[in-house]
Amino acid sequence: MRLQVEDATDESLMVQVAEGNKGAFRQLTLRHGMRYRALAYRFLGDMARAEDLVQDAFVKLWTNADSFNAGKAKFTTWFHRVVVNRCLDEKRKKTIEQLPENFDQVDQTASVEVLLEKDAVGKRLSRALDALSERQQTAVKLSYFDELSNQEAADVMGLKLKAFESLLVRSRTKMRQVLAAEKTDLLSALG
Amino acid sequence: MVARMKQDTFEELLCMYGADISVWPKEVREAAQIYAETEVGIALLEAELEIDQMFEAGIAMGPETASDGNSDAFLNRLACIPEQQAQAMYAVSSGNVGLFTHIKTLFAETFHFSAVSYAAQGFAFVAVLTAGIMVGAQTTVATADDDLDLSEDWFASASDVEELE
Repeated sequence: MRLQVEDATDESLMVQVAEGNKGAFRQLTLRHGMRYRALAYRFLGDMARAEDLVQDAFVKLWTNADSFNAGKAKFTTWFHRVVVNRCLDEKRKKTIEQLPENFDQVDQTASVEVLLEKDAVGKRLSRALDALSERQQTAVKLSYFDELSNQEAADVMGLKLKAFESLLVRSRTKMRQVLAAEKTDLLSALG
Repeated sequence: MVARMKQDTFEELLCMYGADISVWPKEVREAAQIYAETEVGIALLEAELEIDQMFEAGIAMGPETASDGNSDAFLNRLACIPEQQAQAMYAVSSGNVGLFTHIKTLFAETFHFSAVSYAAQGFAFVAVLTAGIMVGAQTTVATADDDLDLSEDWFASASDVEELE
């Protein structure tokens, strides 16, 4: 049974999870828990929130496993979509909430932004990403940081492949423009 | 004779296949190579390489390499979900939880929609009901001051009255 679970595909594990198999669920968490934590962290920039969000997504996976159609969808595409949508909701919710009293204190948990800003290259990347729209940022993160194929990333975002590729092209063009503008500003500042 | 490549096409291919033209589709490679040697082509390639390097740096500084030391604890949290859910359900069935937790668990276990969507439906129901009441309240009805004599419709004609008398 143990071997069966370890060798099983994600999709067949989901079928077993829908039947209440805890071993199959555990196997899915071991295979993908860290990956989705990293994904959520890239969107939220806060490890504690990222962990809570992914845990909540896995609770839904356990309680509503029968909503996954193993014949139609790939598990990782389906669960990526679940996590990304939750991240976007969480980000939107967070921006309309009031800032906490101690918002200006340094966060002990190193966020993506904090890590990136340790390095000049990281700073520039962070600024270039900030210039992108939410959809463009999502496309870039899925494609370059999470290393999904264009087709997988398009499926996660519910786009046709061509539309996703156009989105990526626009994102990179925008990033290039931001970087070029930075260079021009720097050169003009230097006289 | 190779057809001259336009900047838009070059940029699109650059984004799709990266800065290494040798891996681009064979049919566009030659035209792309010619374009890459122009001033604009060189600038675009340099900028693209810079973005690639930034992404690599971003991946290297990403959470996978962050030594937060909580990875095992996090995976344990996930693995415990089935037991926690079972305990929560047991607590609900034995009535050993507060009302809010009870409702929350019911939503998580039973319903396909979130609590927010049910709240929205409830709100829509109340709004429609209120609108109905307000429309009804504005309808003109007879008041005591109106000169309304319902008795005129009681009998079909005056002869009916005479017969009764």
